[in-house]
Amino acid sequence: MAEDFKTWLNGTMYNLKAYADSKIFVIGLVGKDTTENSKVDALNEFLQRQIFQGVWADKEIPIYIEAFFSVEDLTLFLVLNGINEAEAMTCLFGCGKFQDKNFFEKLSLFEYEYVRRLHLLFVLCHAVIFIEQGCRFDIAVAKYLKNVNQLRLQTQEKVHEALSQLSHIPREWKDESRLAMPRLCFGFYRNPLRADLGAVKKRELIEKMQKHLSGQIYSILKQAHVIETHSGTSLCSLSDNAVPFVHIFRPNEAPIDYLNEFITAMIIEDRKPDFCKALDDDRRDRYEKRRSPENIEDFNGFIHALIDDSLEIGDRSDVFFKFPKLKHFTEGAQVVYDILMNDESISEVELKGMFVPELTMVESLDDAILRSAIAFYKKDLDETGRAHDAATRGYSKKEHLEKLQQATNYLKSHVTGDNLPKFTESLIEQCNQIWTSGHQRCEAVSLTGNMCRYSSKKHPTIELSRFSKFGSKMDDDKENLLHSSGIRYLSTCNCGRTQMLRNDPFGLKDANFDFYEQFHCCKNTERYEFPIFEPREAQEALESVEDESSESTESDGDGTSSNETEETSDEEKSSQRNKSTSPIIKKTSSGMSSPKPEDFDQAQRVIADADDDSRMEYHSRYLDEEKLIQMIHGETKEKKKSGRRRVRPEAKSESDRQSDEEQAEVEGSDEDDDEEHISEKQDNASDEAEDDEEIEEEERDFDTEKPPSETAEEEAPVGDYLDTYDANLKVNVPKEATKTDDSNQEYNELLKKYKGHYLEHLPHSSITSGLFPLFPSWAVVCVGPSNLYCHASGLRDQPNFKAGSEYLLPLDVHLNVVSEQWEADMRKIAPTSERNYRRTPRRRLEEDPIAGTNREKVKFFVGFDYECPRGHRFMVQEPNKVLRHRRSNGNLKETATNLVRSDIPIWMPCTCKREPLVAAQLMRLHIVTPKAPVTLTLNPKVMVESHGYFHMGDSDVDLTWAKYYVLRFPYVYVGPNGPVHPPKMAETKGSLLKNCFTVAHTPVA
Amino acid sequence: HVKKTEERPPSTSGPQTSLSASIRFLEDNMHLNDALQELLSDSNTSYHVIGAIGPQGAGKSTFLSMLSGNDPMDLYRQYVFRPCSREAVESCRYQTLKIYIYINKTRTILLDCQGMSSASILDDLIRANRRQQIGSFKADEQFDTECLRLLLFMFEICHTLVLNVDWFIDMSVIRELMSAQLISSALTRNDRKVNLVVVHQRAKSMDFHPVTVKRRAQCLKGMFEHSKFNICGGLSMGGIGFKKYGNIEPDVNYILLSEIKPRIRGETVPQNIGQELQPMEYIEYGTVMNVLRTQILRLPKPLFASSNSLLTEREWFQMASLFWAKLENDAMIRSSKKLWNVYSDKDEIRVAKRT
Repeated sequence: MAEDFKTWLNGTMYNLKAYADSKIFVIGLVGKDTTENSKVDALNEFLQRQIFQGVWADKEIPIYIEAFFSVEDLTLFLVLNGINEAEAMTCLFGCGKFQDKNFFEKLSLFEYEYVRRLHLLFVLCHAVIFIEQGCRFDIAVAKYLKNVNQLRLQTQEKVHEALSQLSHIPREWKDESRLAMPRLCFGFYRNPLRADLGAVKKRELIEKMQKHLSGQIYSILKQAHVIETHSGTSLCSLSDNAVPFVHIFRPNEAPIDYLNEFITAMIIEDRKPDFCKALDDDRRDRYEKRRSPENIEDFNGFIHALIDDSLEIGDRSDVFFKFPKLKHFTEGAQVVYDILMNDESISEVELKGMFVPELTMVESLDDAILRSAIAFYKKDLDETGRAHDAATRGYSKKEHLEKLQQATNYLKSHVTGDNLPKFTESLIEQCNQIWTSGHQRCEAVSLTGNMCRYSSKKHPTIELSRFSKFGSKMDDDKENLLHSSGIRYLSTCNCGRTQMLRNDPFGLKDANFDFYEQFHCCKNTERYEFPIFEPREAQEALESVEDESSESTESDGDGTSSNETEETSDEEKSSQRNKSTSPIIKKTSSGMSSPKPEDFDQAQRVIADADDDSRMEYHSRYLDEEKLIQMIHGETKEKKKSGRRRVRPEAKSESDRQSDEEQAEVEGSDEDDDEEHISEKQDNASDEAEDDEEIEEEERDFDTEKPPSETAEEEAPVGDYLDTYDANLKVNVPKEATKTDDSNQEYNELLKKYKGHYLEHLPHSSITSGLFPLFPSWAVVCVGPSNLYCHASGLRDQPNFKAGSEYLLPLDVHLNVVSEQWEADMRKIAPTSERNYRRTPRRRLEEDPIAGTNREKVKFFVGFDYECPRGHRFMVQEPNKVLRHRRSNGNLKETATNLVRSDIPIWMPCTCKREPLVAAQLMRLHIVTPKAPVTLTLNPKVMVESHGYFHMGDSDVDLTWAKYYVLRFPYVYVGPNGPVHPPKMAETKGSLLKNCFTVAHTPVA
Repeated sequence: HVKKTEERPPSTSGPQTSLSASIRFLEDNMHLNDALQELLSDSNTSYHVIGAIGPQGAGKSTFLSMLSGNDPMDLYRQYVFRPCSREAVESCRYQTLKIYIYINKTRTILLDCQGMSSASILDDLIRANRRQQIGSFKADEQFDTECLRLLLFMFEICHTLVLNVDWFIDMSVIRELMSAQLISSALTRNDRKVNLVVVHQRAKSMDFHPVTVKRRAQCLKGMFEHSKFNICGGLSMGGIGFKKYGNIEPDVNYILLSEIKPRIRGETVPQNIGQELQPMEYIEYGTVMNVLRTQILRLPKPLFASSNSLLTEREWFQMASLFWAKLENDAMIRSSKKLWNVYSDKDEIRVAKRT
């Protein structure tokens, strides 16, 4: 039985004492195995026993040399088992043993061990036989031999030194550091010859093939420089032509597939006598062979010839250096074994690079993957496209972790093996590094639920007042930071006549109060003064509050400061404030000038034309309709008189300045979806042009100032242009970022000082503390006399309404009144029109002569006005149903009777069809009161959460007769539990509870 | 005389010239055969490109002939891809050089690549260089580069690669494939996975044993995992309907084909023979081949790397031309020679030192 070579070396001199002085011949055998045909089969056959069976069971990896000394032949056989064995393959790839390693790492586990043992064979053997399963020379063998030769040359000196210490070793062995320049032989198991050839022909052909293979092998090994004329550099030698060095196994030696042969025979036995004869020949040969094992043609003969030839040439040859005595061989071989197998002179890394150079490539590939993973992480940090944004760009902790996870997953799906833990660690480290060094984003959330876009360290450090408890953390280190989500909305003023872009609010005051204070159109209109907190305890504080409040009112609306804002005198404000606890809406005396359409126009013109106004400059770019039309049509047209104001994008030149890529990037960025909310009527119209032709036509009809053709021609290109214009919105850094306002800081101090004395959120049903807020979140304004509204034409001065939706709904209210009193009041209200009014005696409804009462019907007009983040507006005719009326169908007949008796959603899907679909929010309630002695008392209750509701405060808000009022709802709802964010999708949410106002007969003073 | 396989009607427009036998795809001068464009449709996108690779003499050409419609009973000269001639066999030489192509009526594009790392081709190259007085020391590097280019080319232009082997399994072949796919990943930087089917030709009855098949399938799976190759396409003996192998790694593309039996002119194999053989560890060549012809087309068709949509046949050819040109110029290929010739330079130094 064969043993492990090392074991054999240790035990030989005991076991084989009798042969100690015999000169021995050493043959190495390497090659490839299959399950059914092992490379040692032929050798076992030669030795006529199952000598080589594999002894690797105790090894970590199945690479080992088996040794057997044949006393008959005085030959030592060394068999190298390695990577090509079925066991090794199963061990490497078929079981989970090295699961975490990649292909080349697995390979490298074996490769060095294999090559260094192969090297051992080449310095200890006289001949090395390669067994191939196929019938072709594997050119990888040449590469292996090159590696072996390299190793040999590297370790030559060392081996030489070690051997020199031993006295008995033949001199040649010492000099050459090897026993011989081994002779190479090759055995090829399978031959591709047709089975139906005759035995003689087959023999002849096999000889021919052997000759050709020999030629190829010689040529290739020569090319690989492993066979050289100079014996020092030559690794091995090939025999001359007299003794073949290539052996192709005869059919009678090849493993017999009995089953296959049987089937073949069965199928064709009688039909193909030639073939069967050939098979018979093979069988006979096989039989013959068993009888006379000396057949020169088979492998046994091949080995015998090899040994005989070698011995004959003997020590004299310059190819075969020495045939040592067994005892000397074991002595020397032990020394060589220890040196070569324990050689640590070359580092492991170097070895891997030498034998599995692919590992270097794997490493560089993995490195490239790591870089792409980091690039992936950084993508959203870098791709903003604008330098000043990139500097402030960051990830929140959640985003950071998500991104990091994605990058890690990418890495894990591409990097395999030993590099993975190392690279994963590196990725995490580098990404954390990137994040913490300037890309950590502020965690503040806007009141509409968007993250602040600034990095936590690169906030513009502007003192701004707009930090309520809920807008951001009130930490000292953060309060001076200006938050911005980078998102802007188009919002409408209190009265509904002007629209303006606004930044996503982070502070409650900004959201519900300051923004609305900057509009000119309703600045001076009569309004209801809600009760607010007054710091009475300290007089100075009181003054400072007033100063600051008024200043901030004027100056920090949307963060832009104005020098054009009309100054309201402090005294006037103070006085208003002092009285403000009394819930009175100023009586609209005749002295109150009713705004004329020109005034509205003027108000808008202020915004539209305020080019010289630093605050307005930014917005005006989007609002200057004329400029836009010029840009698009290259013509000047006086469009100013149009009753419908539209929010216009800035001059086209601005967009030209933006490179197209930038626009594309911004539009493509998921994060900036909300940007697209900002929109305009034209876009709406052009959107709808595709799917709603009817409305488009209607709109033309409605647009009386423009000829229909002109409208159509104009609107389409405007729409096209505006499709790309959203991208521009983010380009401009808000002016506020560069402004400072000392008063804000003082305001903040005030907030701190009086904390607990005021209501920090909107009045809410769950809070009954009696505290007042610092500012009103609601607004009730009177925009003028009731005749401002003409039901036939609908609203004329309100921008951005959905076509056919710009109507108020008539609402008849029935009242039981004291007849006489009513009549008297009616006369007071409308003395001049009495004649007309009473042309015929009026029949009193449901008159009760005893009580002196009757039932009177009074007519209101109401409109529930919704607005989406893009500024699109519409009225509803039923809860959750957009009002649509064709003017060609005559006056709108629909009434609001059912509407006011129903709960109405606060958010509902907007009519705009552009992605992403958004929800519109109920922002205004328009009320036109009749010319009759009645008072309408507002009491809106808004439920946006499951518990409690928001209201306007504890006092009633009464509206008097013959006026046009607008109740503006809060922009954001912040309750005791924090802000309620609007829905992100186009969905219905919250409700305005039914019967939000009551009507009663009020005697005229 | 080419028999047609019956999977689906030809869904093509444009040129329908059919080939009677395979023609050159890549010529000896290393240029693509532009005349081929005439045979390609400029509208059809539902073709399947199948390439055969493997060591010399493993039976690539024969396999592709059978796949494209030849019958094991056909004469050699009727084969679409010319099998190894007797003379070539007897002198251990190659038959196919570079790449041959055949397109059958169902628009399956079959590519027959020369043997991987064929000693015989290298030998020819060495001899040719010697004759032309080119420094013969360059021949093996030149040969490695060329082999690599052919493999990389096949990886990119095929939907499915069939690795033909005649015994299980030569690690040299596996390693060459894996090294090439590594360079391919570095070169193309995409995640495209090409189907890899290992076809074991001339399998012996021992090879058919389910236990053996199972172990080998597991090995194949382990070898090619995390590579450019998708070896798990369900084209296994069990996967294509041989019940005996039903639960044996059914996802691993590993097919066994026995030796083609010597022809018996004018006779067919009696049907009952197959039935009698059922309990034995042996399946007829034709039996497997008949199923394989249709089943191989069911493998997923990975999109070609250069585009995100389906290419027409002509676009495919243009893509192949571009990629081939890229391979010709790419420094990556040239530098990768180092993988195979690590010691070529060091050798010289050592020699000098020693002597």
